Amino acid sequence: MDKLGSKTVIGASANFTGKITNVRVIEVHGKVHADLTAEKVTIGQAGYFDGAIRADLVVVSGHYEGKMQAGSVWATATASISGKLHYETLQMDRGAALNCHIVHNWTAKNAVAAQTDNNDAGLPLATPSDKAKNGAVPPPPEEGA
Amino acid sequence: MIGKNSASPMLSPNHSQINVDVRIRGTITVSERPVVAGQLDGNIYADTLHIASTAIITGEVSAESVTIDGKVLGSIVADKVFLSATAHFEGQLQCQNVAVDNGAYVDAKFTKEPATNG
Repeated sequence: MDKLGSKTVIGASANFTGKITNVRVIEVHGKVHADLTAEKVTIGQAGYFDGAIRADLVVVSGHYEGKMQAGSVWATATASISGKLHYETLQMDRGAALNCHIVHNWTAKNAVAAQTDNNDAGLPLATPSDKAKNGAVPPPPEEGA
Repeated sequence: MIGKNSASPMLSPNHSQINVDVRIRGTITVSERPVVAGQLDGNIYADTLHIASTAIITGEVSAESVTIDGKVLGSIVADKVFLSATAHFEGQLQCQNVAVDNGAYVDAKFTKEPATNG
């Protein structure tokens, strides 16, 4: 919808509590208590966000509290972040206030893989038959053999 | 406040909009002119509200003035309500002034009482 542009905006006077899904680009200038998964999240200077964020890019100019998992994080000079921050790349401007647990090398792929793909058994590094060929380990007894 | 290009270029930060495809569950309170084009399960309280044609709202809508192009299932409390030709409204309506365009789908109970809030 061209009239709206491609983003969702929570305006400065808005107060939102709940859950936001299916959003790609969102700007928060008001007060939000929510869990959010998005491509790009911007928290404006007057913005206040409380809740979990998973996003590729998060630009924080306002206040954030919660657990953030992001590819890139840009904390501008007016940012204030508390809680947990998992990131791949972080830019912090002079003046930004980070009072949080910060963990590097979080990637969306890893997180998704850890959540959804628990059966690594499909891709073992060396199959029993490989080892048997090398003669390192005797072949495991076949079931019923 | 934000116009001084502190971060990325922005729209007027006072203007709330819920985009197409976005799904929201919860309560939102806004004191200007929000546009809802996505899906909202919950309540929205605003001054002047525009519910776009792609929007689906299930819950309570409370505003001074509401323009509905989309779908609302639930209750509306407002001073002024305009249901356009593409509107789909089922539920209860409590308002002072109502206008319904030719073609709007309306299956609702209307009551005329002063709006409790805006």
